[in-house]
Amino acid sequence: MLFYLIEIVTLIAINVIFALGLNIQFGYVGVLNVGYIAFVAIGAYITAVTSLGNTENGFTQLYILHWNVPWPLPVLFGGLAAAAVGLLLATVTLRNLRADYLAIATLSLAQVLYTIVANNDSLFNGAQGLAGVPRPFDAQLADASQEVYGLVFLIIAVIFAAILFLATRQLQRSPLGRFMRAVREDEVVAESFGRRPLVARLAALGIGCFFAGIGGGLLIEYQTAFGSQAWFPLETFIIFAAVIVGGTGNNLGAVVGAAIVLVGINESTRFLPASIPSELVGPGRGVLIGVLLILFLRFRPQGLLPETRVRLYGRRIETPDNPELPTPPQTADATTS
Amino acid sequence: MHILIQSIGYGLVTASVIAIGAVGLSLQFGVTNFVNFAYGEFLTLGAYIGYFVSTQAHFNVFVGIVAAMAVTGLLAVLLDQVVFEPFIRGRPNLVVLLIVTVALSLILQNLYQIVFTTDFRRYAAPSNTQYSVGDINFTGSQLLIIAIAITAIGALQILLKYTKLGKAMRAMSDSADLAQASGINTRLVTRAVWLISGMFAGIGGVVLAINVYNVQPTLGNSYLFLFFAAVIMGGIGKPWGALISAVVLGIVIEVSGAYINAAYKGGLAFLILILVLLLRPRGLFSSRRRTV
Repeated sequence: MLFYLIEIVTLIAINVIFALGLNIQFGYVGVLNVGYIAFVAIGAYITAVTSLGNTENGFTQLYILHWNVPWPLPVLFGGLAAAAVGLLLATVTLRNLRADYLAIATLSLAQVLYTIVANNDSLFNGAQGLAGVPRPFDAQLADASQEVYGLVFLIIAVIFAAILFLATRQLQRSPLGRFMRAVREDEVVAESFGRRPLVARLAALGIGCFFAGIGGGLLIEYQTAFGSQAWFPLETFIIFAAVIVGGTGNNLGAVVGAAIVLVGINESTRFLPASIPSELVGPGRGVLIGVLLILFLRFRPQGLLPETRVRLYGRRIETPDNPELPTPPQTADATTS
Repeated sequence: MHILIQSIGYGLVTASVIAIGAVGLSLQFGVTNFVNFAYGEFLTLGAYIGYFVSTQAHFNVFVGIVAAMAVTGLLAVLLDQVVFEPFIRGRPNLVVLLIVTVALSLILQNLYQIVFTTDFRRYAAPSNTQYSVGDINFTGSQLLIIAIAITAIGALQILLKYTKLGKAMRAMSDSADLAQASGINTRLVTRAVWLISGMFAGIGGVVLAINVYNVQPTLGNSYLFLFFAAVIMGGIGKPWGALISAVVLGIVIEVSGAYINAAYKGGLAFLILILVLLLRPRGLFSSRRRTV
């Protein structure tokens, strides 16, 4: 039971990192990254290939780089690699000013990366993925029991999540964060203050993908293995569900959402009666997440913890009566009929 | 040289499949102004219907297509009424609508896994007779695919150009507000657009199943980004642009597939998409300046 508890809290901490990153993109500035999970995968794979070295850890597998840099550099590399790919993609697509172009491009990127990684063994060992990834402090804790090591990793994950949470809060209060939300609310007004909306979007995308990469790095170190199955598109929507259920634009909401969605959906299925065939559990979960997303967007778009306006001059400005989700960068006159 | 010519022939077949999907997607995108990320799932349903009617029940392939069109067309209208309509009423929000379609895609794909299982269903080819057109060998099924694509897109073109409904659709595509102001029942036109877009998904699904010989729950979704690529290349809301782009994409994919690892075919299509976004953000055939 204790081990189970340690495991679930660790997974929540990692998912909080994912949700915070997606919240910066989707919640702060309103860009839609439908292929978010691909950036998690990039982080995970880069972390693995920069820490595995030549040892292969007893597994016969092919991969690139073969670096072996000391921890926590691999995780950092994972984050940077994800951010670099995200920025590259965003530079190309965001010039179009429409939310759907980026959504299409990220979805396509995720699908293409998935096919290439799964079918090319020389990159990250193909569909099987990488295994035997070194865990942090493995040598020092070689004799530790499963529980003790789990606890150490839990602390590591929580520290990472806490640092990133504080950084996000700092960002939210910074001029850049205010500018991001201004772009989300009204791009033209934001632009009239002399700053380019594109910068806000690029920053949000880069930072969000960095978070995804860091989380992915921690995930692969925790599980010590990561294959194609781990980044099915479904996983992206667990993170979307976390952000939307928790409260779009609210950092605390991202934390709460990650905990609720992950525990509620992922873990409750463990206790289903045995009469339900196991192959139905995964798809059933997918349907449930989809329905949850639509219902929340329809009936409580602001989420459980609505975004509160940041203090200005020491006064707290309350959320307006009709809290809206981020308005798109440019709603070319959508059908009103 | 022979490989090149032959793969151009296969390219035309792939292009026909992409064109049907892209035209259906482009029509709806142009009129309702949001992308439907669940369109791949519409095709998958069409493919399953075609499989049950033609392969399981041994009806003619055209009966399968008509049945698939009916079912996916109704599904599209139903989803528009039940799911999208409430979101569009009031102040529509593009980002929210996009996530709703993505969530729908997730729901439908998982429902197919539950209802139809993840098994690969083998779709029986309508005709395996070999025909030679010039230097290119086609099977009867492949010629059928090309013929169906030409017929369907030609019919849509006639509808758009010469009927009142088609004119209303084009008017809405230019500006929904102006169309409404000039007395067009935009609600009704939107419904018709969803119906036609869904019917194209039905045709596309069956054609896709004929082309790859099997049906499984992620069939349509795996082609979705090719449709997107064709739609963006062709310019949003321009069915003819989507058609020409589909031909380009289909030929590039199949010709490259003859020389490089098949896994990279999709990567190449993605590269083309990125290049188009970089160089011609409004599509290859854009005539007017970008409006902000």
